[in-house]
Order: sequence, then C-alpha cells, then structure tokens
Amino acid sequence: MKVLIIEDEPMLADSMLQYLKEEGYQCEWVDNLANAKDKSWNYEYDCLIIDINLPDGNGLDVIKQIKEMKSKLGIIIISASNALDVKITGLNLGADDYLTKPFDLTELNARIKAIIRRKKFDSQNSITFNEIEILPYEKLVKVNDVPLKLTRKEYDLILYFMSNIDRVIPKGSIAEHLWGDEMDMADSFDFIYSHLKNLRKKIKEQSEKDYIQTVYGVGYKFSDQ
Amino acid sequence: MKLLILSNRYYFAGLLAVSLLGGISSYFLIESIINRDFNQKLLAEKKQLIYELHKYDDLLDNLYLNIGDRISLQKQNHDPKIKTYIKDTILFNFYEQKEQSFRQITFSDQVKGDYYKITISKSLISSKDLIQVVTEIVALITFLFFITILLLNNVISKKIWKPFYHTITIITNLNIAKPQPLSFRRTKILEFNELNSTVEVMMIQMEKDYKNLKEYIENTSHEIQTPIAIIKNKIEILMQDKNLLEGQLTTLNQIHEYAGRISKLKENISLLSKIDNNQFIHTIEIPITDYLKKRIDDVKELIIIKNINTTLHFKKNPVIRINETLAYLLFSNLLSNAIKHNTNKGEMVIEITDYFLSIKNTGKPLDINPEDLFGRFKKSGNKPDSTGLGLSLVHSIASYYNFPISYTNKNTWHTIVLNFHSNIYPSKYI
Repeated sequence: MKVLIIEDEPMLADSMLQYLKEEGYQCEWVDNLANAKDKSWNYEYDCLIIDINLPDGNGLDVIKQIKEMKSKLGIIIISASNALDVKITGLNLGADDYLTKPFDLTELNARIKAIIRRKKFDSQNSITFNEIEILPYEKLVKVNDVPLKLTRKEYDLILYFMSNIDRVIPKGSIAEHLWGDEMDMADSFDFIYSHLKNLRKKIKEQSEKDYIQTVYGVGYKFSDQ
Repeated sequence: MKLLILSNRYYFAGLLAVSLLGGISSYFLIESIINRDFNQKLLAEKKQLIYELHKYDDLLDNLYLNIGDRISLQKQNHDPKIKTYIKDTILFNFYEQKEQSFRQITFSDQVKGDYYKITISKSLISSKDLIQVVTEIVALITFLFFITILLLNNVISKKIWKPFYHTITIITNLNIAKPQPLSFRRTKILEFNELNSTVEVMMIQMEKDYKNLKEYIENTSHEIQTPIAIIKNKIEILMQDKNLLEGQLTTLNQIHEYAGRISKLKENISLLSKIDNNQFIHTIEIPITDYLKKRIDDVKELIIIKNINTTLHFKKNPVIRINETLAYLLFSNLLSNAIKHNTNKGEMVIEITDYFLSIKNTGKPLDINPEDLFGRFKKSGNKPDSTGLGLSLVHSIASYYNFPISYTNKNTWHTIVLNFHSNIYPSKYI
C-alpha cells in the first residue's frame, strides 16, 4: 500500500513516516506543492495525506488535479485550521477525510485504513487478527466465526484497536476517537473502562485469549505478545 | 431628533418672537409718527386760525365750521386760561352717520375783547386705515419672510448636510470584516472634508489593526498547532518503546495530554477573539428545537452513560438567524455543560418556548460566584481537563447576538436561560 505525505514541516512528516512505515505502508514524502503535483501525477498511490498550507501554494490544488485524473485514491486533509468552511471546501473538492492538527498517529492510521478499505470496494475486504475478524461493511465482528453482539461504541473500539495493533494507545486518544471533544476527559476514562470490560467479556465468551492489555499510566494496547 | 427638525424648531421660535415684537412695535411706531404729524398740523392750524380770527371780523359769526376739519369757537365769560392740549376723541360724523375718531386741539384765545375756547378736530379715519394697512403689510411681509426662511433652511440644510448624511451612511454600512474603499463625496465645506478625512484615517487604522489581529489569531493557530502536533506524535512514537518504565510512560502520557490541552485552549481563545472580532458574519435561519434535537442526538450516548434523566419541553420551534458555526458552539456547549457538570443519575430539563431556551441540570453546588460563571477560565472545582472556556464561548455568542443569558443556582439545580426573542425578527438600525 502506497501513501504519499504532503507536508512542509519535516518533523511532523518524519513522525508520520515512521509510524506508517511500521504499519507496513510504503511511504513517500514531499514538502511542497510542485513536487506533490508532480508525484501524484506520475505515480500511483493508495492514499494521499495533504497539508493545506504549503510554502508554494494551497494543498487543495493537488486534490483538484487528482479529481481531473479521475483517480480513485483516498485523500486525507490535515490542517491546522478547524474552520468549518475550510473543511467543507476540502470535502467538497473530493477529499475523503479531514483531520485537524494536532492529531494522534493512531487516529491518522485508523482513518487511512478506513479510507483504503472503502476505496477497495470488495466484499472479501475484512480485517483479521488471529481468530478475530471484522467485516467493516456489515459492521460485524466475528470471533472463531461466531458473530458478536456489540454496541456501536464497542465496535468502534475494537476497530480502532485492530487498526493499531501492537501500539500503545493513550486513553485520551481513545476518548477523542470515540467522542470527540464532547466528553469530559475524567468521565470518559470511566466510560472507556466500562466499554472495554464489556468488549473483553464478549470476546472471552468465544475465545480464550485477551488481547486488550492495560498499559499502566497510559492506556491500552491490542496485542497477542 | 433629526438635525433639520431641531434647527427648524429654533428658527420657528426665534422668528415668531421677532415677528410678534416687530409687528407690535411697528404698529405703535406708525401710530406715534401719525400722531406727531397730526399734532404738528393741528398746531399749525391753530396759528392760522388765530391769525385769521384776528384778521377777518365776520369769521366769528361762523361759530361752527365743518368743512374738512371741525372748528368750534365757544364764547367764554372770562378768560378760561386753557393751556393748549391735544387728545384723541370720538365725534359724530354727519356724513357717514357714525362715530369716528378725531385728533383734537383745544386752546383759548381772546378775540376782539371776548374770550373763546377753541377746538380744532381732525378726522383720524384715513390715518387709522393707514395704520391698519401698514400693519397688515408688515404682518404679511413678516409671514412671507418666515416661510421663506423655513423653506430655505430646509432646502439649504438638505443640500449642505448632504455630504454629512452620506458620510453617516458610509460609516453605518461599514463592515470591518469586509472592508471596502471609502467613497466619501468631495464637498466645498471645509468641516465636512475634515470629518471625512479624519474618518478615513481612522478607518484605515482600524482596518489595519483588524487585519493584524486577524492574521495574528490565524497565524498563531496555524503555527502553534503544528508544533503541538509534532510533540504529540513524537510522544506517541516514543511510547511504543518497549523498554520504557511505567513511570516514564506515565510522564509521557501526561505530556501528551497537556499538549492536547494547549491546542484546545488555543482553539477556544481564537474562537472567542474571532467572535469579538465579528468574523462570523454569514448567518442562516435555524429552527432552534430541530437544531437542539440534533445536538442532543450527538451527545445521547453521554446522557445514557451518565444515566441522566432527560426531560424535554419543546412547545415551540422558533427560528433565529445565526452563524452556523456559532450556533453549533452555542448549543453544543450549553448541552455539554449540562452533561459534564451533571451528577450520575442526575436530571436535565430542557424547555423551549417562543422566547427562551432554558436548560436545567442537577449538579454539585457552585463554589464560585454565579456572576463569574460566564467569565474566562472560571472553573468550579479542580477539573484539570476542562479549559473553563465553554461557558465564556456561550456568553460571547449570546452577547454577540444580543441574547440575554442568565444563570441561577438553587441547591443542586443549575439553570441557564437564553432569551432569543429579540433576534427572531431582526430589527434594523433606525
């Protein structure tokens, strides 16, 4: 899977590159609009991560070019602006998602995976981890081929974990993923705990293993190690 | 009050006083001039009469003359010693068969040994007419003068003040967020030109300040969010290191959390500044009840998790004109405030009428002054993850749209009432 990162800030690009490479993506990075247009024209990518503010122009121009090419690649905008009109403009141009800086790498990763899944529209598209299988189109989770009855949040939670396997995920990132800004953080940690308790219980009914590990002082990790 | 009405009022009062005074005094002036004139004539006639009486003998036989002036001679037994005097009197006019005013001179004289009391009476009829006519003419001229002044004042004022009103219109229609070149009309009036150029200088400065502030807010948002993103992401990568000790991980997580908090703080402060700066101009019509239902849907899960018993009294669905972003911030902050500070298994009562929205919730008693609740960074209790800006955002938005907002606390009940009736029918500046 090929990802092109268009970001003028090298340190930010560096973090994204490092994180995404470990996820098994083939990542490339350009730091200006001219190169971005050039690369996205000449090579095929599965997903573009575009920063709007570039030294030589607006990142949205890349989206315009891609839409002219009728390419089906996924596009995620990352921007420091939380303004509604900027978001709407970006999404109307044909971006698939919009992330506001600062974002969590786990969140970026989950979104990239979701977009790539959506773009590669085939029914066999499922996410598996050992005996756990997620069928995103049916929003179904199976453990040892037995479907689980999950609530919406439990489903979101396991999908988020399965998108970030072997990663330490801070509770704050989980809370933001599940509820955005709406939730008081202190409250949300209790809610995450209770959701997790239920999720663990439901998985345990079908499997011996508990993949959700608690990382003390931080959050959780989904891993079989 | 309009300038023209005020100046008209003063002109009217002033002219009325002057014309009344002028009319009355001109009447008396003319009368006194005529009287003096008559007196002189009468005195001259007296001399002439005395001379003639002494000269012509047979004149004495005509004791009563009634041609032109009336002259009467009354023979006296002894010297009446009358000092000559002149007065107004009323006599009967045989020709016109009515009483008329006369000016009369009375004196005594000795003619051929006999004493006579002599009166000469001059008809005032023509002079009375004269006074009347003159007074009428004066009144008419005054009246015309009066009307002319008022009309002229109106016409001149409108013409003279036109650039002034034009300037006012330009200033009124001015929108700092959408600056347009100021097109003041050139005028011959020095003061107005001065006013215009002063306003222009002020506007240019204001636009510059506004632009600077706007750029500052936007730049800091952009420039700060990127380093925060880098901090957060670097920590995330660092966290994946399996050799980290528990304490180190905890510290990293705290840095991660607080980096997120800086970003949120910055965002909310920028929002507050943008609201104060009138940067949310575009408005749409929002039916409050429908809109609030959607926002409640957004937080439904939180309500369920916290076991909050929610009661909705949605009687009406008033429509307000508001910016979309601000509407979202206003209603979602009000709601999340009522949920965040609610107790587990608490209550929330939301009521909407044509005039107000009231959100009541249970919660811990407030340990800060209720008046300070809408202030920035006022937090009840020690909640490190709350920025303390949610309600100041609400307050900023409410005051931006002139919605009176109030907070009351009774025991465990907290009520926020937002009045929006004033905005339903936007009143134009008159």
